[in-house]
Amino acid sequence: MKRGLMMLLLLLGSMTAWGETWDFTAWETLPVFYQGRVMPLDAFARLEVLQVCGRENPRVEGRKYRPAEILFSWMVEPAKWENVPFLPLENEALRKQMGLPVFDAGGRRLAKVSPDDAVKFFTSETYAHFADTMEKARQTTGDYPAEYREQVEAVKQLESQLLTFRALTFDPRTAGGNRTAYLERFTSVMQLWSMQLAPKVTRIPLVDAAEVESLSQGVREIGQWMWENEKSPEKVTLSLLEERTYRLADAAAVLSEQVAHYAARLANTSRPERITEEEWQHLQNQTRVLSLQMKKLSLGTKELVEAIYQDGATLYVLPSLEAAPLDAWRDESVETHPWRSLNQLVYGRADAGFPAGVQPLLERSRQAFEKMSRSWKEDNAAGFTVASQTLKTTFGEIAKKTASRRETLLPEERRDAEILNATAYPTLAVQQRLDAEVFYYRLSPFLWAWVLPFVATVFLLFAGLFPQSLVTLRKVLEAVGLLLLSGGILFNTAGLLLRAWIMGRAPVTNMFETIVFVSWTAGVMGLWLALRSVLHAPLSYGWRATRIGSASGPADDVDTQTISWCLLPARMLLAGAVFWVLTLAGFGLGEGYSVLSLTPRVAVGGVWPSLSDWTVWLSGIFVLGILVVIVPRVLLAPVAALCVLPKLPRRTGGDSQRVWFALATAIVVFVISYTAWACTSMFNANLRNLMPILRDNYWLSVHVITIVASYGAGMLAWILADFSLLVSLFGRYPIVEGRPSPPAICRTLSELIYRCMQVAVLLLVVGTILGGLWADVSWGRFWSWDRKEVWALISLFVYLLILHGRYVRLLGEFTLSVGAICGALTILMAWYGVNYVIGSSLHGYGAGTGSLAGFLGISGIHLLLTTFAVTRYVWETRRQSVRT
Amino acid sequence: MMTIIRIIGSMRFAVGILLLLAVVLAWATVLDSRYGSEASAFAVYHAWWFLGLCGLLGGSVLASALLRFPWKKHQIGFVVTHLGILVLMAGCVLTFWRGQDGSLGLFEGASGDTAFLKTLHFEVTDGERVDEIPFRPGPFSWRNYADSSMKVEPSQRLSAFPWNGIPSDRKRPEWSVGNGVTVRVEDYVRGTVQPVSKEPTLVIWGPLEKGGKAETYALVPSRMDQRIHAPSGEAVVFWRTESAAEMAFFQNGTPDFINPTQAQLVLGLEGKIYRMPLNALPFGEAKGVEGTDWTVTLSRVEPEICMVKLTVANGKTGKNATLTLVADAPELSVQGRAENVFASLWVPTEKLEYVSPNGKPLPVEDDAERMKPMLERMHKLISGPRVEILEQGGQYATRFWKAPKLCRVFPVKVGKPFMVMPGLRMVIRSGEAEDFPGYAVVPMPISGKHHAQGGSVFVRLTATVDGVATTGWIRAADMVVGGTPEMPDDPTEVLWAQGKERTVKIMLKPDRVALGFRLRLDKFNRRLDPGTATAARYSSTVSLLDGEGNVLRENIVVNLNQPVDFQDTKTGRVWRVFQTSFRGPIPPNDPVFTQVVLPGDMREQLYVSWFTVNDAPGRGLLYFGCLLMVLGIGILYSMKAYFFK
Repeated sequence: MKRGLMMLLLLLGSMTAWGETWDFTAWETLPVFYQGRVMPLDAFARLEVLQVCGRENPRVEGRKYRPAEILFSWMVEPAKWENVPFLPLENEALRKQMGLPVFDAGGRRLAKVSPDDAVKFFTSETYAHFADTMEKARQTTGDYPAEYREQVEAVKQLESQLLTFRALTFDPRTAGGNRTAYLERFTSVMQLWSMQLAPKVTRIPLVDAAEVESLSQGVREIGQWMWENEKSPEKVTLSLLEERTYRLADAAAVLSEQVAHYAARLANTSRPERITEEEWQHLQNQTRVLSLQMKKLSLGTKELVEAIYQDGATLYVLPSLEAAPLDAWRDESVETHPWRSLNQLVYGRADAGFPAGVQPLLERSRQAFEKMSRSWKEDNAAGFTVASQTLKTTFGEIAKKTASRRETLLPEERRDAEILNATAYPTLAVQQRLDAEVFYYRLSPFLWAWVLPFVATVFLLFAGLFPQSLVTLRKVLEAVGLLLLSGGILFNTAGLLLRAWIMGRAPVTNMFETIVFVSWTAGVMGLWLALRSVLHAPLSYGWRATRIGSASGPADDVDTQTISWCLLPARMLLAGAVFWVLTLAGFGLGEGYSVLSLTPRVAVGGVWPSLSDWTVWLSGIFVLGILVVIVPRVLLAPVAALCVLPKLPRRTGGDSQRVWFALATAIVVFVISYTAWACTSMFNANLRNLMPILRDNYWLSVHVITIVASYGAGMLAWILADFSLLVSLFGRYPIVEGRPSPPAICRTLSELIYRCMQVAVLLLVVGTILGGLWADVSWGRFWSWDRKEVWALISLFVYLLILHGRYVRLLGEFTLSVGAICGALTILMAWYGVNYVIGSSLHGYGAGTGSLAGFLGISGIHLLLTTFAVTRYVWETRRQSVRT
Repeated sequence: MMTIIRIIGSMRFAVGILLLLAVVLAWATVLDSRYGSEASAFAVYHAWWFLGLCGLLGGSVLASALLRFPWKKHQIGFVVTHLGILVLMAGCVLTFWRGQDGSLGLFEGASGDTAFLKTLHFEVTDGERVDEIPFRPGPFSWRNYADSSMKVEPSQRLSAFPWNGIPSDRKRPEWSVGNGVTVRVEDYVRGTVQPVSKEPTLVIWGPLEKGGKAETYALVPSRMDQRIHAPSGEAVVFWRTESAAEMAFFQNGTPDFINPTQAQLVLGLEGKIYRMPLNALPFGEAKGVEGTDWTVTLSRVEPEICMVKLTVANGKTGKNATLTLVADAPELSVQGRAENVFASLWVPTEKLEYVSPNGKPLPVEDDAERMKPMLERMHKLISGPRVEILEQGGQYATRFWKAPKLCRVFPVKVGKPFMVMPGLRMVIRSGEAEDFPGYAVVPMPISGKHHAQGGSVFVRLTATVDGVATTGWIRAADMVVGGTPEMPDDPTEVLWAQGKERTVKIMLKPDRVALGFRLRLDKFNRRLDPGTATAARYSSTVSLLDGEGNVLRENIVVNLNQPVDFQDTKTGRVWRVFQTSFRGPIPPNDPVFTQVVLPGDMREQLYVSWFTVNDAPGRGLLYFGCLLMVLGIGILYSMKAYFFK
């Protein structure tokens, strides 16, 4: 027991003992805007470092870096990294092609290259020739030659790694003319203006000819300058580039204003006599279109200004005072960003589009970043800490000062509270959420969620295998195992809760989360089963104690009546809460919808509800009634149990079979959690925004949670069935009542399997129905024979088949295990196979054939196991009858 | 009767039917992923036998409940659960039978009162009279799929699919409208149109192991350096001839090697075929062809490239022709077309070995040594297996040569795929066949993925008006988005059938249903995730109008996941309206924009909002059934009854 605790403490300690001298907290928790949401810099760094280095915590030349740390180093001393090998490249053929060694002096395989190596390769003749050949091959045969496919993949990956690295280390002061994004955007601005708009705009009477000329002049100027300096990019200096681009943007803004003004005037004028109605309409249309295109041009020049400072993924650290990206009518072609990039703030023109009032603060943030950079280079940890804190607080202050102005940038009708909210600088409460995200990454709960159960598995295995005589040792091992298992489940819980908090939604919305959740439910249920002998009595007392007016219960010990009256206020409160959630709380968008309506639905245009509406309403009210009564009791039963706990008679003597159930649970939890952890990229573990139909959806959460919980029960039944089959395959067949029967534990196991299956069926039915309700609410179809639905139905049928078959003794106790395996396989198919196996084999997307092989392998192994176990069973019983 | 109920209500029966259903459903999901949801609905989910199976399941549930009547107290959970299943099924049946599911698309600012269904009908307009013929073509194109997908051959059944879903030629649907107009559907294709070239084209499929991808080549008479090469390496040579005799010789003038080590010369003289070993011909000397008046004189032999030059002459008629034959490049051979004299040379060995019977050595050219490597290279280039295709007056024939023998010779029909050898399949498409001016209809390959992408529906019709038949392709009209400006009919969507004194107009249109009320889309609201181009959410603000266009209710928001019910006050029918999808923003410089958005309207974007409208009369029963089922299982669980013991 003590040992286990010590180990836990040690493990926990090792997590925090990291990076003592350098304090990156302020830097890591700096809010940045990325992928449509505000996230801590740490999360951004993880995404990008993973992209560049292939892992989040890269080890470079013997030193392990934290993601935010290496990112900072890249940013402030990019030159230092040019010759450091940290870009992963294992492909042997490609290494040879690049002229790099495959093994080091010690004979170890080399797996990294430096940016410099990569650049040399990509600018070499070899690469040009290789790329050319491969592309030709692809065009003629439709794919790269099989023997080069891996190499091509490696090249592509290296290229994307290098580009990401370049984008992250982009320094506008030294980049010169090497600006891909800038040139791209400039080309489109130039084309739009010179070829489409300029000839038309000149013809508009109200437009200032000098402005048109200055815009044309600006475009020409930049174009010529860029073209002249193509060979010597260093001549393109930041200050000159800024000056010219800003001038261009100003001219475009003025012109756009003028054209819009003219278009509005034209729209409000009546038709002059000399032209026909048709011509007049045409003229009006043309002008309107022109004004909208001019607006687009103006936005394009603003994008151009942004592109001075960045060239791909970058840190956006402060909400800008630009109206366009906040526009409720914004269309997807507008690429101006709602936040300003760090580069622009610290290296760009002094004002950066902010009012004069915050200029001193901007200056301070510039100095702070400068100091951070200096401290880093001088290895001054304390200085870094102070400077990074200053940077963070200064940004916070700037955001605070400009917040109200940001909200009034747009006219009332184009303002969107939601976008403003989502792009606002984090308030204190939101900052806590960001801190939680950093904490989540640092904790890596889903690592511990499999490591601890794995250790628990070992302990429990030993506890089970040690001879019966070593009672104390067995007990200690068992207790430690159970504690470790509970610890793993706790980590799992913490991870799920953190995810839910960070993203503000139920943590069951992608494959990774469902897998983790299945592991959680399986773990909780398994623990309950293993500790049933301990937990059952108090809980059932607790359950009874929550009943008002109950006479039964352990009246001699505890006054259940007192407890139930004491709990009554809480119960009422909870009942009220349930009522509120189901009928009054708004889910979804805008005004939202309530899950159950207190009045029957009346169609718009109608007066009375239809018969169908009445039935729906009645069903809803009935459900409401049941839930309002049951849910508070379920929640309060453990509380009541705690109250009666001291008074209950203490059970003596352990449960000799408990260790096996605990072991089964530990294995399930370990395997599932490990799968989730090991395949994070395949199952998409990133914290990401959801697709529209899934957002703010009550049904989604409830449906998925129920279904996934049933999967957990199914998985637990599966491993128990495996146990049971293994025992009947290898165990001894004792003679009971003169007849040989499977090992005694099988009976208990099948009882537990049965219990799991009951839970699985109950939850599966409810979950499937909830899914139907969701589909009905969202799409108007309760059931549409979707593959996922059908497989859920199949697994339901399989379980029903087993339960019914067993009821009439069509199937014996033994076949229950086989049934549990079949059921679990159908669940696996519904859960994973429909997305990845059927999908990958026939549609060519998803995980490829490897997972199909894995799936078939699992099925095959179980088929074999079942066959052998059945054979053994038949043989044993037959042999005995022959002897008698 | 009792016996039947007892059998149906027995647990064994229930277990059996559950097992059967589970297997059938698993198979159906495979079909679904392979051929798309429409095909799986056609083959399984909406098939009579599957509905029958479901009925049997319902019967089993009902019978098992009836058998236990009168019910005892501990059976309450069992009864409630089974009743729940029955009520649920009843709700499903009601919705399946009476329910409808349509789409309604509206431009911003426009209104609509008609929803479109997925099904199609022909609209036959004869003056004032309009007839509608429902058309249910099934999930697949009827045309053979060989043109666009390697996987399916015309007569072959789809793997794992119970039938191919294509009506046979004799069973093409045909309707008489009643006023002397009959409509017969010749072909139904779901696909796209592709421009056609005037030249015939050759489609070659790659070997199956490489994915069997089809490649299309223009079929123009080949020169030696312009041969087509199949993905598996075989060369394809093609030439044309005016002469029917050459075509006959092409098909009959095949070698019959007795000793496949010697070159054989095959002659076609006045329609008859003569074969002789090349070594039987003395160099530079006339040799008579047995049984004729013809003589053959070998005047030149180039062993490096298997080429011979010979003169064929008829002593009696005085006809003579000089032929040049290249064994590996028959398309380059010079034949005596005017004299009806043809020959071909077949060399089964690597090189032509010619020894003149008269012992005369072959004349040696001056630059022979210099030419030799070049000739050898040329020979290497043209040797190897080859497919020969000959065209004569629109007829095609093909031969397949793979040393040392000619493997196949057969006539080829245009548009019909043929197999040259296992793994090498081709089809010749005639250049003239165009279904619309300049375009041909190309079916989509069958697979779930491609069906999901859609394509249009095309139908080839024969319409007979007063005994005069008109045949042509039409494209199914799209659903009409409310607010679309009036436009003349797309000519590709109409078939004008000319009768003696009248013209009948035939179109294929989506079925529609009148909602009984009118919805106007006042504003479509779309929100993008800040800083990205992904839509965060979208909704529509609509108004309810009556038949005259008076506004009854305003500011109704139809949101994702938040449908709104609307009632047709006349019939009392309730439609539930869902936000499904949208199109847009349509930019201002799009012609549609200027057509829909009138001047003076300073809108910057235009959207089309798509709704699903749905009438599900069984919804109440369904919900109630679900409730009963869950309740029943809950009771079973809490009472620890039935199999929850």
